[in-house]
Amino acid sequence: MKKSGLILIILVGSLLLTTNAWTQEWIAGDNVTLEVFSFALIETNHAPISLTLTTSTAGEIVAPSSNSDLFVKISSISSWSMTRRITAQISNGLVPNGTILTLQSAPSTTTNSGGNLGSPVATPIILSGNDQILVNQIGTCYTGTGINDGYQMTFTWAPDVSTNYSLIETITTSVTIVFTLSSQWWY
Amino acid sequence: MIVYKKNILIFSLIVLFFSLSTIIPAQNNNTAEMSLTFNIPSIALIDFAVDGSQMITYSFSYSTLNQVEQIITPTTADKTWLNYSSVIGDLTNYITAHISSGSLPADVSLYVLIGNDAGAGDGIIGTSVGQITLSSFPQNIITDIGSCYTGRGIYKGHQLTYIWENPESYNYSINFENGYAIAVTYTITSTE
Repeated sequence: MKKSGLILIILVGSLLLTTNAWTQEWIAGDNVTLEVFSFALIETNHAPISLTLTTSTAGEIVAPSSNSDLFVKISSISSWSMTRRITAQISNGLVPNGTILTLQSAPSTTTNSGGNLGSPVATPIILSGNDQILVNQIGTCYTGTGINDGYQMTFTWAPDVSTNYSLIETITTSVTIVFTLSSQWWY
Repeated sequence: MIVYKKNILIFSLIVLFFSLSTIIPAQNNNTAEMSLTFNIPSIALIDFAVDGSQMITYSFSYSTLNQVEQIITPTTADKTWLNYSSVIGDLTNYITAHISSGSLPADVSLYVLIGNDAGAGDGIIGTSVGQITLSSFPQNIITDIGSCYTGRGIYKGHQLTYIWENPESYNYSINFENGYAIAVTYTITSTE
């Protein structure tokens, strides 16, 4: 009895070992770590923007000039603690004397986009050397990459009626404008 | 011991916040740059505004917007205003007037009195020379015009008043009314 008991234990033990070997074969695998890095990419459609202030009627003030050719595209991965926003500033050059340059973003196009595209600020910003917000509350999203995908930007150049009109003079000049996609933490 | 634990907690929080923050500066391409070009051309535009009841015709017979012609008769008085728009660089614009067609009898003079700007626009409006005797040679009537606009319409810009002077023996109402029409051309010129 004692002997048969021992044999039984050995038998069961060897069976278990075998099973273990099979089991190991079937569950074999690698640890896969899934990581999504936070990132923020921004680009324009490189539309050339040129604005002209003039009039063709004697006695009239020069007429404001607008252009809506520029689209800004973004890709954004945000997190539970952070949203993003698009800001703009003039990084180089000056707006000609006696005039003001304003900029307003439309909501992102939806044809090729997805995610939380945020909301544009309702009133146009007067562009200056300091960053000002164009679009707020952007989450994880993408706008699409076509030339008419993303946030359509409307530039309006007008005489500054709060200053003397005589400041306006014949000129051809340019400025550099920088759009920034930045992060806004909740804390 | 409690203080020590608290310090550990604060330290870990600080480390955690820094590790979160460092994700952001590591990103590239989160700015996009563009160039925007401004252009303001020189402007020199002139036109008349005429009170409707006045017997005046005018035309762009010289086909350029910086020159206008007005046909005046002895009944033409003071119902015309000169409107203009101007944008300059370094040098000012000026306006001249001359008789461009028709001729006056030798003993008749035609004056034009150029009023001061009515103040409806903005900028550096020109200075009126006051009164001139019109001739076929262009004479300055408004000078030192900077970047400005006068507004468009009557009672805007400079009022023009025509004065016919003839010897007392001469009855212009008989001699001129149907016989003479003098064309006066006003030209705005850039000195650049």
